[in-house]
Amino acid sequence: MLPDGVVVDEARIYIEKAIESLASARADFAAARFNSCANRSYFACFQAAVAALVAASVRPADPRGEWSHEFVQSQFNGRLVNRRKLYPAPLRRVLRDTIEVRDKADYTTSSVSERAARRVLQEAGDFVRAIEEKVP
Amino acid sequence: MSIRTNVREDDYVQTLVEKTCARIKAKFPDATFHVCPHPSQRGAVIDAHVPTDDDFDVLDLVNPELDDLLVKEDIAIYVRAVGKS
Repeated sequence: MLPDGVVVDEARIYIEKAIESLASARADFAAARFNSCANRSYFACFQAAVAALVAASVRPADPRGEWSHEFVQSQFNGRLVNRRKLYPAPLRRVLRDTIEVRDKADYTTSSVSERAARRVLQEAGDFVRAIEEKVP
Repeated sequence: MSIRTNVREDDYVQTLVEKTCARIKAKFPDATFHVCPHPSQRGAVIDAHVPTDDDFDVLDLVNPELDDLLVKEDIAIYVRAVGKS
């Protein structure tokens, strides 16, 4: 078990990464780079969710200490939203919504539309803000 | 229903995939699907070929249930709305 201060610092590092990713997502949207916007929006959410889990003393299941996408999604939604009610229920869908649009952007021949990019960017902004308010 | 899939070895996941595709098909009758196993855990990735450029016309139909599925049963089924085939 890490000392409290170490946990808080790690959470802070992840939330700062999330804020940086969100800033990139906004810049990508403004430049009509909608695929990149979707990618950065998802990672803003992923990094913010890791910050929330670290702050709640949840550790990754992977023995190497790596956070898997599915573990972060299920633990954030199941543990922090459903059980502990630390975050509002509408945030439960954000990791799923953003990863699906990001996967389309990164791994298929289809491109993300302006409408879809606007929505994932909006969801990511709400998600990061909600966690930033709770992570010291 | 047109579903090309290679997750048939898991009957339960296959049933869940078919239910998910049926829900999308109810709104988009011409939709077709290409399904692959999830790359790292039990589940699947569904590419839904649908005539819309707004992914959320599709995702809003299925994501609440698929989110519950991951949390309660640790089964990861993802949908990508990839436009017309």
